[in-house]
Amino acid sequence: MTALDVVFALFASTAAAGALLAVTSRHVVHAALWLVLALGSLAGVYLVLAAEVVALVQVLVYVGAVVVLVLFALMLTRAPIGVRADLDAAPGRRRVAAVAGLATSALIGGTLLAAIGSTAEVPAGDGTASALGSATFTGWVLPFELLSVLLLAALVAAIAISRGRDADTPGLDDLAPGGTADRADPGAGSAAPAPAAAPAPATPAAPSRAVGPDGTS
Amino acid sequence: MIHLAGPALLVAVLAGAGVYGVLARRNAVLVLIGAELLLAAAGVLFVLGTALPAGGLGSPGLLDPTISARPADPLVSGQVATIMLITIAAAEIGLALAVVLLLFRARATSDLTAVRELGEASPSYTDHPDAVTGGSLP
Amino acid sequence: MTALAALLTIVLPATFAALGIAVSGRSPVWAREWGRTGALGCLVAALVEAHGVLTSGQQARIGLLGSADLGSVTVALDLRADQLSALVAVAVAVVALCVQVYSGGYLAPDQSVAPDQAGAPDQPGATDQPASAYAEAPTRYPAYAATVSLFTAAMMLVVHADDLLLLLIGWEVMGACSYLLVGHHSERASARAAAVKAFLVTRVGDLGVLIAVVVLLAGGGTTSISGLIAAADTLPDGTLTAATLLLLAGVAGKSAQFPLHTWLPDAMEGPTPVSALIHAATMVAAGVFLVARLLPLFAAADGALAVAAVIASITMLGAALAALAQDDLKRLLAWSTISQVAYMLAGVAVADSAGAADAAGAADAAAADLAAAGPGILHLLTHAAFKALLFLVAGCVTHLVGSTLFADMGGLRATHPALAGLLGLGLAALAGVPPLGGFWSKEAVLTAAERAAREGAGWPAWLVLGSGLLTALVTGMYAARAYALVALGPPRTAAMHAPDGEAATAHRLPASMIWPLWVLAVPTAVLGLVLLAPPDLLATTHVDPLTAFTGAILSLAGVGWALSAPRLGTADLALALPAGVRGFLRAGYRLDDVQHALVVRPYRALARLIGAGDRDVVDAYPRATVVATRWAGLGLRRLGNGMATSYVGWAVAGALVLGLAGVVLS
Repeated sequence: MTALDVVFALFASTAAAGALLAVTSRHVVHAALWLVLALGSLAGVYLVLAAEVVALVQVLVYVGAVVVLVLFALMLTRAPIGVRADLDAAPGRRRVAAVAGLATSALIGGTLLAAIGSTAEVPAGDGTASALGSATFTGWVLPFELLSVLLLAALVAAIAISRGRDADTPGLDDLAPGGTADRADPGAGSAAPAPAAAPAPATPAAPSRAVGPDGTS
Repeated sequence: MIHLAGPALLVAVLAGAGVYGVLARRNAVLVLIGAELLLAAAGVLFVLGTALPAGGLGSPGLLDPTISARPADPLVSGQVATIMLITIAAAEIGLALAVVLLLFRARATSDLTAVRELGEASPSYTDHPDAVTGGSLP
Repeated sequence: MTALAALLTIVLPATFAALGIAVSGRSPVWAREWGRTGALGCLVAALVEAHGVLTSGQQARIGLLGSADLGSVTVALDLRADQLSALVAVAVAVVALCVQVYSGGYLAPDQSVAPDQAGAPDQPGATDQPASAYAEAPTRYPAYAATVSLFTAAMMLVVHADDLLLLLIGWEVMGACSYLLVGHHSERASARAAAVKAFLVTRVGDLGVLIAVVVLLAGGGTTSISGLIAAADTLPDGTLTAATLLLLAGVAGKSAQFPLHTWLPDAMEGPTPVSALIHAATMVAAGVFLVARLLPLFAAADGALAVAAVIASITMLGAALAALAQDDLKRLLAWSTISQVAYMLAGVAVADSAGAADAAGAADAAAADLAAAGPGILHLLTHAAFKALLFLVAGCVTHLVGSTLFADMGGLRATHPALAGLLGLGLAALAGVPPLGGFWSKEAVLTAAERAAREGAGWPAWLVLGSGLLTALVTGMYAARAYALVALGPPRTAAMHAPDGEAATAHRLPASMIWPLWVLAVPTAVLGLVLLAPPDLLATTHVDPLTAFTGAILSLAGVGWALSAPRLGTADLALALPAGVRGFLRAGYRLDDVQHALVVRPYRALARLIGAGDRDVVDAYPRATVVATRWAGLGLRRLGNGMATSYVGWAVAGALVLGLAGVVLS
């Protein structure tokens, strides 16, 4: 038991506890905050595993951007503040979900532990930025480029989806019951306002457009 | 150095919690939180995976300590993969949250159990779509 | 020359049948001429063949289709031309030509009402609009004429075949043609039923012929008729007995002998010329011809000829009594055919080939075998003449009256004396009044039976003799009764009242319906003269004066009884019978009911049983899959509940199962 083991145990237990609380909390905002705790602790775990750059990216993207996004989404969907009973499914379904979760844990954990045995240790590695950078831009350059295209596509898609009904192109609203797609003429329907579209399109559009830059930073 | 069993257990716990979150939650945003936990478990597994001898979990090096052949720079590949995973996760959650917002605007709810239009039990389901719309679908 | 002529008797009608269908299209006039040309050519060929056979002897092997290699045995599909085939071929060709000519007038395209049609209209509208009801008939005439030609060709094939397989082909084609012709008026349900009945009943017998051929092939190793006849004495007893009894079944079916005779009276639903063809020349005669052809086999087999004699004795008397009670001219003639064919069969059945060979002094055994069948064949020839004449006359009467019922007839002698004279000639020949053809042939049969009985052939010959003598009496009665009802007495319908009136011109008989009658009247009257200079076939055919005298007395007694009945107070001799007996006889001993109870209803029950089994047992499995699939679909449908979470749950479950399987299996 080295000091590194102790630190790892601390971070890992914090991350595990945060994850469990994030999926069981009956308070929406608390769940999001427990997620912050879990992902932050995971950054610590990465540090202990000598992956410094990964830890940095973890903090930057997850803790910085994703969680902020989640909190924004909660606000925009008028998530209730306080303890709510209707966040979870019925008890029967929850039991099924618990069985599925435990089975997943047992399968993955059992497989890994059986494969690892008792002798192997994580070797000391080189997680520095220069090593990672040279690896990324030599052997991994093609996936990297593909990833940039993916991010662009996600950016455009997020804008297109959330922009809503201020364009000629039909959005997801039109597929709702009572939406324009149920009418005989789609061309005429796109001009008429749908009765079910409650909020003004401008409000959710602004943070949605911010998804792209934040997510790709 | 630390023992490999610790990260392995962490992966198992995170994955289990993620599956539970996806299956047990009704709120769409909370379901996404479960999905994020699953992705995080995958990231840890990536970092852990290339710390193993060449050939991964199935290689004889794991079972036979005398064989310790490793790739030239064993840890870097896994870490690059993890970074890319994180990037993909970010893109995914951005897109997914946009969909959730759209759903909320259309239905004024983000409860997944209330959105069942694609199921046969939904109120708008019909065996004969032509009879309802009065014409052929495009 | 003989061989070529024999070939042409088969090929010409068959070719013209095909041409009649292919070339004439829907034109009945062309079809009529094609059919007549084919029949005429066939008659010329048959006459040439007969001349060749009589002057220069028989031709045993005439190649037709080469030989068929059946693996274990090679079948030579040959024809033969001897006196038996040549004489029968001439009779067939004459009758076929007369029928073709007659049909042109009887089923004429310009004829407004078909007599058969008007006799028993099936639909209510038929009588109101006779023209439209018969409008489609002309378009069917090509098929009719071609079928008659094909029928002739098939009979010629049977007559000339020297191989049982060829004979079987012609035999089966005749069955198919009789089905088509009996059902010619297919718009009538009764005609369709009669056609199906004729087909099915004869089919029962045909099955016997088919099995007999197989038995002979297995036992004798050949299907060649000459080969089988030559080997008749060396064949195993079991083979011979089985084969001949099975052949007798086929003979009973085709020749309408008891108990397979029920189809023939019903076959009167066909057009009258078709009846003439079937009864006089082709189908019915084929059975007797088969026995005559294979007589050495029958003679060698134990009991086969005795069975044939019993069948013939029962049939001839029973059918004659049934004919006595009929109230329909055509049905009376049908029953008389059954009775007369039984005469032929009896004449063949009492044949004594050994005695005939001695009498003829012929070295050729085959010729002696043929000669033994002489009386039966002679009766076949005379019967062909007078029965064709009778049916064609009956067709004319039907044409005039518009009905085949005796109740609508009468007074023909006053209105159409020539027709009445021809009818009387035919009926007298049927009754066996001397010196007409029928008299000589019938007495020849009786003489043969009497000689066989006296020479120790045993009880079958006595049975035939007794039954034949009784039948002669009854035949005279029903023949004279038919004449009395049709020709004597007052005319009963408008057409027969005034021969030169308006109605008569509307029903004037076309010339094509008249002169075949005169053609047939000649052999009817004088065919007995052939005994003055008999060919070898008939060399041993004698007429014993005492037997002839007895038979003639009995016939004339019957004729006189029936003819004098009107003067004695009863216009119809049949009315003298008790009503119950008359109905019983008219219905043909109710054998149809027996047949219905014994065959049709059990068969239908079996069919229902099989149908139920098919529906409830075999089909149950496919239906069960339908039900199972439906329930599975309902169950699976509940899974598609629209809940994204549950879809993910199933995906996770699948992934877990796959992962677990991977761990366990690796």
